[in-house]
Amino acid sequence: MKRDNSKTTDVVRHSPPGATQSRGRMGNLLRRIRIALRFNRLGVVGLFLILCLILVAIFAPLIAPYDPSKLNIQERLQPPSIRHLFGTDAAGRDIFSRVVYGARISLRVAVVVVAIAASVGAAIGMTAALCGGLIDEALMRFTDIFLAFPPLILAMAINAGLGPGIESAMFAVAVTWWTGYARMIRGQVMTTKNNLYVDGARAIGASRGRVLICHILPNCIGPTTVEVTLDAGAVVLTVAGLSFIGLGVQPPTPEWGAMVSEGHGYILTQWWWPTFPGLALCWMVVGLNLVGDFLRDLLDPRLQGRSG
Amino acid sequence: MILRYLLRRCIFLLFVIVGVTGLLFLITYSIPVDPARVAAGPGATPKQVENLRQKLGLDRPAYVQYLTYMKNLFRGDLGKSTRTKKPVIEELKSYLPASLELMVAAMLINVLIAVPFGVLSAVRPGHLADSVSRLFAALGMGLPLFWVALLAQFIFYGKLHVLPFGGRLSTSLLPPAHFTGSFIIDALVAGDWLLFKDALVHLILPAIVMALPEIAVTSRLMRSSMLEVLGQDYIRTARSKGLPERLVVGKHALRNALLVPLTMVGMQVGWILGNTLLVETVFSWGGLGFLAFNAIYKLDFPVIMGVALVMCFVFVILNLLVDILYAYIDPRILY
Repeated sequence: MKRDNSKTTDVVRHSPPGATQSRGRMGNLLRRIRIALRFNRLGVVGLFLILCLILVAIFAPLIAPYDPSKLNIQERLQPPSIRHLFGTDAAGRDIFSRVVYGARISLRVAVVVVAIAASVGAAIGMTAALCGGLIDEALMRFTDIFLAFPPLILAMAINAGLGPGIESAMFAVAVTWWTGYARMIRGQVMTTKNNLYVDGARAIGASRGRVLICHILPNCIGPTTVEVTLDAGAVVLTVAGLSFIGLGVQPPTPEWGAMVSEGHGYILTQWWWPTFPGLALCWMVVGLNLVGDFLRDLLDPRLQGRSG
Repeated sequence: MILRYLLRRCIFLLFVIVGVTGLLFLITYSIPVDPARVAAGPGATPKQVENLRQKLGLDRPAYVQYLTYMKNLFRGDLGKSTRTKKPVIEELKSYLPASLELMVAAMLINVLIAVPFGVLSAVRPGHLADSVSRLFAALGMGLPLFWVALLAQFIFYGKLHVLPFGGRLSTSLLPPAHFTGSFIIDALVAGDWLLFKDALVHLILPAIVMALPEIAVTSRLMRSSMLEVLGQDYIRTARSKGLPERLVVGKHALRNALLVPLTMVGMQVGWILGNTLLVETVFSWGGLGFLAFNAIYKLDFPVIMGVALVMCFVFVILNLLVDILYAYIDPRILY
C-alpha cells in the first residue's frame, strides 16, 4: 500500500504546470534575483546591513573591546573617544560593547517571535481553510478579536500580566502577531486548494497530509517569507518599545530598547548614551525592511516578464 | 442597504466587545500576582487578605467573576487605581482628550504631507524620486519612535532652542477651563490667544514624531494607487479631450486614488494608538500612554487594563467610521 502511494505521488510531483528541471529552476531563480536587484538596488544595501549584523552577533566576543556588563565608575559618562567608541553610561559600561552584544538579543527576539507567530498563524489559517464551514467561521472570528487591539496595546497588557522580562515580552508579541499570518495563509490555501493539480493529486489517491505538504504549502512559502522579513523589523521595534516603557528586557541586559530607556534622561547632557543603541535598532529594522522589499520584488510575477 | 450593513457591523461590534473584554479578563485572571494581596497592601495579615478576597469576590468561579466584571463595565465601573485610589474611569476621562488631540494632529499632518508627496512622485516617476521615496518609506517604518522623539528633543530643544522639551503647556501657564479637555480647543473657546499659541507650540513636536511612520506608509500607498489610476482608460479619455493635466490629476485621478490610503487609515489609527504609549512617555504628554507608562511602573493593573480597553474601543469605532466614510467617497460601493 505504502509503495503504491509513493509511486502515484511520483507521477503527481511532475504534474503541476510549469514544473521544470532543477537546473532550469536555479537558472530561473538567479535570473529573477538579477532582475529584482536591478529594479531594487536598495535590496543590496539591506542584504549588506543584515549580513553585517549577523556577523557582529556571531563574533560579538571578538569585536567588543570590553565586557558589556563590567562596571567602571571611574570612567562613567565618558563621551565617545578612541578608548570608548560610543562613550560610556552612568555605570561606566562601554556602550559600544553593549551595542555589539545587543545584536544577539535582537536577532534572537526577531527569529523566535516570528517563528512562533508564523507557525501558530499557519496552523490556524490552514485548519480554517481546509475544514471550512463552522470551524472556519469560529477561527476567523477568534482572529478578529485579536485584530481589534492596537498591536502594541495588546502586547503591553499581556506583558504587564506576565510580568517584565524578555521571555514574557517575546510571548506577548507573538500572541499579538499570529493573526496576520493566519489570515494570509488561510487566503493562500483557499485559492490553492481549488487548483486543478490539487484535484489531480487527490484523484490519484494522495493522502490529505501529502496534498497539504507537497502541493498546497509550497504555494504559501513565497508570500510568507516576504511577510516574515517585513514583520521581523516591526517585531524587534515592538519588543524594544516594550523594553522602553519598562516591560520587556530588564536592565542591565544589553538590549537596545532597554538601553535607550536607561539613557533617556541623559539626552540633553550625555546624548551618546541613548543615541547609539537607537541607531543600532534603526540599522537592523531598516535592513530587514529593505530585504523584505527586495524579496517581494523577487516574487512579483510582474517583474518576471521584464528582460534581464 | 447601508442600514442593514450598519446593523450587521453593530452586532459584530458587540461580539468584539465581548471577545475583547473576555481576553482582557483572561489576562487579569491568569496573572501570577495575587490581586487580593496587592489590594490589601504589604502589611496585611493572611486573614485580612482572605477577608478582602471574599469581599472582592475573588474566591468565586471565573465565569461568575467575568459576569460581575461585565456588569460593572456596563455601569462604567472599571475598578479603582491601586496607585491613586481614584476610580479608573475618572482617570481615563481626564487623560483621554490629550491623547485624542495628539492623534488627530498626527493624522492631519500625515494626510497633509503624505498625499501631495505621493501624488508628486507618481506624476513624475524618476528613478531618483522613486529611490528617495523608497528609502524614506524604509526609514520611516524602521525608526524606533521613542528614539526619534528623544533625538527631536535633543535637536529642537537642546540645540536649536525653538520648541519646548515636553508637556502640554509651559509651567508658568494654567490650563484653560475644562470644556473638551483639548487645551487647543479650550483655549480657543476661552479666546485666550497666548494659551492657544503655547498649547500649539507644545503639540508640534510630538505630533510630527507620531506622524512620521504614517507619512512613510501613506505616501507609498498614495504613489502606487495614483500610478494605477493614471493608467486607466478614463484618464486617457480625459487627457485626449484636452483637459489640462492639473485637472486630470487633481480632479479625475485623485478622488479614486484616495480610496486605497483611506482603507489603511483604520489600521494606522491602531499603530498611532500604540505609539502614543512611547511618544507620550518621552514628551510627558498627559495622555493615555503617559497614564499607562506610570501605571506599569507601579504595577497598577486596573489602570493598565482600562487603558487597553479604551484604546481598543477607540480603534474599533474609528474603523467603523472609516468603513462608512468609504461608502460615502466611493458611491460604487454597495453594502
